[in-house]
Amino acid sequence: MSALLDKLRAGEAPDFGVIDLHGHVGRYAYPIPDLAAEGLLEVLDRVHVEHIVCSHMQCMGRNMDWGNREVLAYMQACPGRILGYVSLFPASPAEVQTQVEQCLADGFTGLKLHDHNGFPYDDPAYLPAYAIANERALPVLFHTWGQDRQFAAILRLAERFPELSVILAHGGSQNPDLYIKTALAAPRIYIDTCFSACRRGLVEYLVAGAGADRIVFGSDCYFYSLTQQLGKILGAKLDDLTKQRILRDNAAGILGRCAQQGE
Amino acid sequence: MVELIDVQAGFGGLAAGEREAVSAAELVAELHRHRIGQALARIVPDGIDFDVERSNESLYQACAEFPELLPCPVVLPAHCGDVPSEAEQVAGAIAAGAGAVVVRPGPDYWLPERWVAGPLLEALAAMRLPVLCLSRLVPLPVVAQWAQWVPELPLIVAEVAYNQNRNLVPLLQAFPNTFLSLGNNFTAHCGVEFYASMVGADRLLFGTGLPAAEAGAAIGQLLYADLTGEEREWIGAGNFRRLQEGIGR
Repeated sequence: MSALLDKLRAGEAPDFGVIDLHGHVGRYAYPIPDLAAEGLLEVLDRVHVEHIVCSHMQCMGRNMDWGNREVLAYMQACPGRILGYVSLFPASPAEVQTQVEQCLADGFTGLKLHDHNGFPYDDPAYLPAYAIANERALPVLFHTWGQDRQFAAILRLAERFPELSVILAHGGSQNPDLYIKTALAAPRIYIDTCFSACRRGLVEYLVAGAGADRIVFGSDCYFYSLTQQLGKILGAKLDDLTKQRILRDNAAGILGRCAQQGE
Repeated sequence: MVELIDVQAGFGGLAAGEREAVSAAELVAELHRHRIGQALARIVPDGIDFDVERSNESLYQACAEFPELLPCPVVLPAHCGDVPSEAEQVAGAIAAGAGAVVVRPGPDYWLPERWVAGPLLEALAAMRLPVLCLSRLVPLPVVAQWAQWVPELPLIVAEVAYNQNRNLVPLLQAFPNTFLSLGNNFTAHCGVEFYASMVGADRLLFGTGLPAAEAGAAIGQLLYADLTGEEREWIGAGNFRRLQEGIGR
């Protein structure tokens, strides 16, 4: 029996504070029911999410500065609860460096990159951002969907910038074994759990392959329902200690590393 | 504890590349693990299921062993005489205890047009036997057309993607005989509350997507939603039960 599954079934939140390492805020092409920071905070309170680290919903285009400033507004509306990932567009190394320095000075926590903009993750324009993040041991969340070229680029970066906490988003969405292999190739590569399809047994498979210490909770809220993605972990066939590692402990370690570097 | 009846579940089918099907017993074990009282079960995956009568028979046999399972057989137009008439299919499904039926126009090689589907929809409507409309097989424009043709026939939209709010809200608002399954992969930020406020909690049905999907996801989405206790009960089981009471048994 799982006390956490019992909690879920009773509609009660976990006793410990959950940390969600993959969130989004802001408007998108399809309607989001509640865009207010207060609305998100109310959801976080309801299911005992202590922190959610968010980038902007439109984290792919040229308008990064605008999006990052909107994320900052959410952070300021809910200090300590909504944390920020800096979104980047590889216009030039100088622009990227300026954007990262400015956002980190404003209190952002890490970087979020998306390759739907057509640029690989090891595009030279991104390198100043990785160098800064490496110095501070920051988390870098990469959108992934099981593609070889994504993992190849990420592995090159993990080797070159070994202090980064690398997070592979959408763990097991395609090629689960490739996620596992990539995570095991370097000591600080993690797999996040957000996936709309919530395939039965997938989280268990990732845990068995990569180890419970490499799996972190991500909801992809506002794209997905945070409560639905949380329920997936609480309902999985895993022991409660493993669920807690996924939902909190591993992420606390990642955030703790960068906090220590910042002191 | 909120009672849950799952309208989007199944067992017994194979997808390409799979060697073993999920058994009815395995589905029931998952229902028990999550304390889901009952499930509307169909043969899934359905990608290489080509003999409707045979798969319906295996569905009925398996469901007969487990009181937790309500069969959801496949029905299809009977113009060619290769299957029993539409009215006979509907009567047979009801006699076997079906809680709804599922239709698969593309895979079963029929068009959702009135001159093909009309007699089937009318036979179903006559008995108010709900129809599960999986959005990959019955797209939303077809659901809208059918809902208009047979307004007394309950149509349950299921397997809806999380990004369809702009289409689903007006569909549900325009056609009171349409219902939404909250099963995989419906996952919208505050989506249950949103739909409850936009179309009414009485139009939403709990569903999981078992065995492909982890049931805890749908449970979390419903039980952590900002709803009244009454709304949660309706969605969890009450709305489906009301649909069952309407069937002409």
